[in-house]
Amino acid sequence: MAEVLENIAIYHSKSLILKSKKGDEHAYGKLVGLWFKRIYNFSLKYFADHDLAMEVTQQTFITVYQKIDRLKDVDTFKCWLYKIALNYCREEDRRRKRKKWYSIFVSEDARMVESNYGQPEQEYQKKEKEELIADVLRRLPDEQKTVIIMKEFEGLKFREIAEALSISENTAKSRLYYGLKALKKLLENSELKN
Amino acid sequence: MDIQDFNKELLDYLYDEMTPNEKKEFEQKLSGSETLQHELRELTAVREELDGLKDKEVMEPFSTWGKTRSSRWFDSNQKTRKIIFRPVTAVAASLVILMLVGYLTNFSISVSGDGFQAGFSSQVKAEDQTFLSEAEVQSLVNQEVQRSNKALIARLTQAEEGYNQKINMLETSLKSVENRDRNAPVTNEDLQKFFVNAENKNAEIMKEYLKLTSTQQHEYFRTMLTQFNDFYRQQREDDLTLIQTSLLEMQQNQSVQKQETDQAITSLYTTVNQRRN
Repeated sequence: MAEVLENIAIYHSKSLILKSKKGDEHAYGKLVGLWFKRIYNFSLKYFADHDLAMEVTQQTFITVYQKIDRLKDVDTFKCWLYKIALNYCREEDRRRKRKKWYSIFVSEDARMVESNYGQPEQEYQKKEKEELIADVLRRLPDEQKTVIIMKEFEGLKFREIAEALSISENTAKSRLYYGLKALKKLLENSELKN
Repeated sequence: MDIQDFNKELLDYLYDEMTPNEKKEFEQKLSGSETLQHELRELTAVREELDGLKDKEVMEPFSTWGKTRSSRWFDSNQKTRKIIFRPVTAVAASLVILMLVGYLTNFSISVSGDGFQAGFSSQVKAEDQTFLSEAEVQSLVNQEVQRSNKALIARLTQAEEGYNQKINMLETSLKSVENRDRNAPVTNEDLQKFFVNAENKNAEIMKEYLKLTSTQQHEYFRTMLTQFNDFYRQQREDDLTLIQTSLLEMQQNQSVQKQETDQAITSLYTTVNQRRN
């Protein structure tokens, strides 16, 4: 129920964007509140790292705050937002590769914050599965991974993905198709290993 | 890399991005094609797998936006909206940490007429310390050298007396030989014995002299080194005790803080639970 309400709020954030464009910080605060979780989860799936995801999310909203007055079409806010987030993701990824720094899917802090309610076995299996999917997702080429996250987890339309990535809709579909195929193979290999 | 048209339609169908008419048409195609059905099943299965990766709940950072909160990230009064939070907070946090550590360890720095002082624990007053002036140190060294010289001279005098006695004995024996020379002829054997005897005695004298001086010097240096070692050991022990005390104090402070934090968290948790109930 909460998720449905959240989605409704996101789709009705137009007035908040307009107010934010005029410099209304209170409205911008609300706008961030609506989109923070989405951008965080997008970055989290991109990196499989809580700290990096938080870093990218904060950088994204700082940039949005600085540049929202230059946004011409309010309807393109969503694509614009994901485009900024993706740019920061790629930038951080390059920096991380330079540092040769790797991390696990969920940081120790995040593990501790997560509750242990329910059956421990189920919790463990769920976590195992999440880690497996995050791992195979991480191993996909960047362009396929990005489209899968945007489509599968963020629910963007093909048109929106194409706009955010500055590619054609057909290219977006093609990347998604081959991405899903590659993901299937990786999952099968991982399951075989286990 | 491109995909065939039917796969594009398949993706539109899979993600429900078709108009009702397009959907109907595609479903007809689908029912007549095993390949399409197989593709659809495969892609659906992958999507189901992906469904296992759920969104994580995340709290928007406390100091983010809004009129009351934005000031920590942005200087909203400036037209440029320059980002200030990162360097400022980093510097401020470093300063706070340094001050806290300094406070916990009782670190102090002072500059006075007596000189510059920096260290843990309470400040040491200059009058409490007994410093030796350069002249006093020189005087102590001179005294020590004089004492050592006196002892050496005394021993040398003693040795000299011993040698004199031995020389006298030699002279006496020489005289007896001379006397004997006058009374009876000296044989080669007598002369050989006399020189062997003299050589042995000389060697003994030299040996004793060298032994005496080397023992003296050895003892003197050993005493000096022992005193020096004792002084540094004492100094090290004092430093270690001081550091240990400071660390213990820090540890105690941390334990108190941890307990306070735990209590605060427990209190918050209880309050939240009560409100929920």
